[in-house]
Amino acid sequence: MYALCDCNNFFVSCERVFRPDLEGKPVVVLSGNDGCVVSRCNEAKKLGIKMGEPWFEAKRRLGERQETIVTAFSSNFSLYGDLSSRVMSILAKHTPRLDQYSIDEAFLHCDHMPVHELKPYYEQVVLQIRKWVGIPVSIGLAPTRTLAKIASKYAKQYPAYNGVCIIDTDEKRQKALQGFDIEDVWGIGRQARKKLLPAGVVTAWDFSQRLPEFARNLLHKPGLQTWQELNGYDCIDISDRAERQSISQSRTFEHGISDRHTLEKALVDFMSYCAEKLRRQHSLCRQFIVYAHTSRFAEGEMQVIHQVVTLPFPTAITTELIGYMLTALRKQWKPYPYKKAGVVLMNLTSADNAQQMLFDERPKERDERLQKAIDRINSQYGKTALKVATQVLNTNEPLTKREKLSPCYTTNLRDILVLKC
Amino acid sequence: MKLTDISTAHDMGIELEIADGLQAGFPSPAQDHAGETIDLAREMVRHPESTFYARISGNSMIEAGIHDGDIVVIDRSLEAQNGNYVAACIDGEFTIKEYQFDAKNQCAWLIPHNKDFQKLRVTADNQFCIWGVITHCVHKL
Repeated sequence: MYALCDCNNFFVSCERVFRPDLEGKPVVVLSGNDGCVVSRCNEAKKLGIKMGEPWFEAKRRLGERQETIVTAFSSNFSLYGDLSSRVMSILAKHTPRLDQYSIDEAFLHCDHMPVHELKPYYEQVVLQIRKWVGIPVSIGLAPTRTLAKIASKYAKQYPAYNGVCIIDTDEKRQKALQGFDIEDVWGIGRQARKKLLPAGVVTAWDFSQRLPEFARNLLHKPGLQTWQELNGYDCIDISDRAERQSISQSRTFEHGISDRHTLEKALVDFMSYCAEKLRRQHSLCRQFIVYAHTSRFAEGEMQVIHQVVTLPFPTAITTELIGYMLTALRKQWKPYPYKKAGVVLMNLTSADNAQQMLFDERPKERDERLQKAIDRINSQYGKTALKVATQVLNTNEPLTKREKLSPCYTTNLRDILVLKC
Repeated sequence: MKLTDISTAHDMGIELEIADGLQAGFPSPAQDHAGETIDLAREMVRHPESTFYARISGNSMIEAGIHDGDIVVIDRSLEAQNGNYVAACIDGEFTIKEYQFDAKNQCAWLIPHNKDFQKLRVTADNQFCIWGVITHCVHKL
């Protein structure tokens, strides 16, 4: 059996941990540049705010009435990354093996326990995470990962499940699949739905009742795997999909660098190098570290810049990685003579199985075409014929607009909660 | 208080190897204890997943030794008991006080530790939650 643990409205839930006054009120989190809505609480969903909707449009539509006042936050990834690792760390204590799938989702292996004990056990885990971290989660239990995902959706939808829904009999499986839109099945999506609808497949149950050849012919191997998983045969191994390694590049400088431009230029080179390596092995990265420190032997305290950046979506696009890196670096920048600096890309996944993010509103195709063109030119004219020009950026401005950013309550001592006393 | 990371000392070329290649002589009794050190943060944080920090602003807890500007350690995993100091959120404002549940009067009390302050009665009319239990206070001299 597998458990899929999914954090409910994760980004909004993170903001609410430190703003209990917003419990029960409409809250949204906006994408980079404060452009679109990427996370909504249930109250915001009830107001009709759509996932991915441009924020200025939603605001205009809702007007200024009292009951439609929505609190919006810019994406605060250091906060979300920290709370995510707390949730994952608790989950890891309740399973012999945890596969983190995204910032707010993980698969847990749970063959260590009799099936009838699973639901009450994981109900306690839901309560523990809510109390310890403040994040509401839903857990789906089932014999395959695809079914566990479906179960978790039911757990989220119906409060009577106490956060945990289990598919452990054929009757339950049938009932769950019959009420489940095929488009919402893990690995199906909108494109596949276009092919399935004309063939009369509307629900997950319809799909599971067709012949395996139907699934394979229409949707190839991944479609067949989904068909098998819906029928209870465990066949998707996500540890095959995720390559657990890292790519890094660092250097010790002869003379300390205390000029920000010079240090940024070095780090941009490192990041470009790592991103190219990442693309060559067809991987995407979800998280990276950028660091710099002064000499360990100099007088006085060693000065350290260390930022862990969790990306909202996995990427291998150089410009995106550089953008996030510079934003993170500038947050902690102080002019000291840095002797060593570097980047480490972590949490790598295969580009072929990238999880499509609902709220990924980047011009993805254009970026990828551009990236391919740059790689081609560089392979023809030398590694660094085309580079990202950091010097054209207005260096005093943050790279993305984040006007409604909440404090980094858990990752920056200057930003911690204040208790009035 | 500054914390300095020394875990990567080896990549700076410092060799701190204990000479266990030497055959002669008595093996160092310290060898089994290499790497042991006192880590105050670890002593103060029993549950890293549920531990948060907060800064004190104000003087209502001064007689309990909690001063303006201090940093407190909050553990959300603990169940608040009568007499605990808690981080609570009342009507949208975070505060720190001693917690007392009053079963007879169906209310809770938030008790300051400074005679110039009044204790606070919490009833069902308040938006109220106990956010976590205070376990330590870090005071800079």
